[in-house]
Amino acid sequence: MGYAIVSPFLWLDDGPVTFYGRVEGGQIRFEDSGDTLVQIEDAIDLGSEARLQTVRDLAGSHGLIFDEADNAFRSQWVPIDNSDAAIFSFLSFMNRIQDVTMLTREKVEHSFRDDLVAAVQEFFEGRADVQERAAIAPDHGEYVTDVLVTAANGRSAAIYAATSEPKALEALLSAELIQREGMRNVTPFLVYEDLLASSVSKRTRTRTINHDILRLGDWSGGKREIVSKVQTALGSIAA
Amino acid sequence: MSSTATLTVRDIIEDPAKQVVDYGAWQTGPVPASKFPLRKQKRLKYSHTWSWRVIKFESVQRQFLVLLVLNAEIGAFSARLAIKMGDDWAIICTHELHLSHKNWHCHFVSGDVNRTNPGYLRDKENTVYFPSGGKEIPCTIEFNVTLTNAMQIAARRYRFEVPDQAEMDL
Repeated sequence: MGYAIVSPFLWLDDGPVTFYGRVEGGQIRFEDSGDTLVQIEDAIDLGSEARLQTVRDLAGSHGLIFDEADNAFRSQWVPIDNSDAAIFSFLSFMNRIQDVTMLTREKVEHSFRDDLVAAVQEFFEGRADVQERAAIAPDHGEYVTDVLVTAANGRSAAIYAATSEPKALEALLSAELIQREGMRNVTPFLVYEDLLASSVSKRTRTRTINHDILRLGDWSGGKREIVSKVQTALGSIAA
Repeated sequence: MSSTATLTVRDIIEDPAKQVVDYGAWQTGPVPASKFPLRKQKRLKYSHTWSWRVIKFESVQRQFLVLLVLNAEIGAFSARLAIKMGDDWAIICTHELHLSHKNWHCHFVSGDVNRTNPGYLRDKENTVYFPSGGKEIPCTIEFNVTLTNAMQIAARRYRFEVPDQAEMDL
């Protein structure tokens, strides 16, 4: 048994924020109405790891359990006579999670790209030259990568973050140039945030997978694997 | 009628020649895109506290789905009418009752439903609220929607035939 609780705050569908207080043995826990994600995904797609992590972080910062298998948010069990803090925390969460709908594609893409660049910089710091938004070669200034890693042996990795269709096509174009001009010291990389759930079209993804020299990375598969692939491509990187 | 001729929610509701293709069956939890493809490959992420059922019918040479969703704990029920638009589906009317506010009300697309933006629970650009009035108005009626009567409620609103419960899969 429990209580359906109607708050004075507005929800995304213009109705009031409504949630449930489940009661068992003198204790209560608060639960969302069970369609929070349905409503949020009417505004934005939570398919990207960055956005989903934002939801996880928000729930965690309010002491809530995000049951991803059941698409539900729940508080801890608390004594029903001492539940005021828990109810305010839950309400705060229900208000703040609505702001997730303001996470535009651009903001999330920017976050993923920044994370990728930061991981590369962290790994190769002091071991190779890392430049953000650098040309793949001095005489091809129009081909700009998200991050260029150049080892002391002269080899370099031109890394693109696949944040959009044009970015994936840009990586393909660079790979074509590198192949055509025989730039053996440059290895092009394209890193997807989540290869299977990417906003890049299936056709373009297939082209990137099948390209002769373009190396792929899947951020959701682990960033360590990505920097390891880059390291392998660079060979001996002792500065 | 071609798919581009003007079509209103009223035209669909008042069509006496609807053909129900499938009455579906009650299930709980997420609604898979294979049953209600509002968001292409993506399911609707309801928790297990929600029951749902999808009815398919044809009317005015178009295909329709009605998604019933019911959460008795929270006191919420919706019957969402969706129309097929090319490869997409658009929700053009939601008939609902929540304990949280108002009594029975609808959100529906005013005018030609062919201009509805597909893929959304509610196309806010084209949807109006009926009966009009503030959402601060409280719900004053008992929430009496159950798995047994939800289908009849939707059928009365959208005017499609419902066989006796004995013939249906609950």
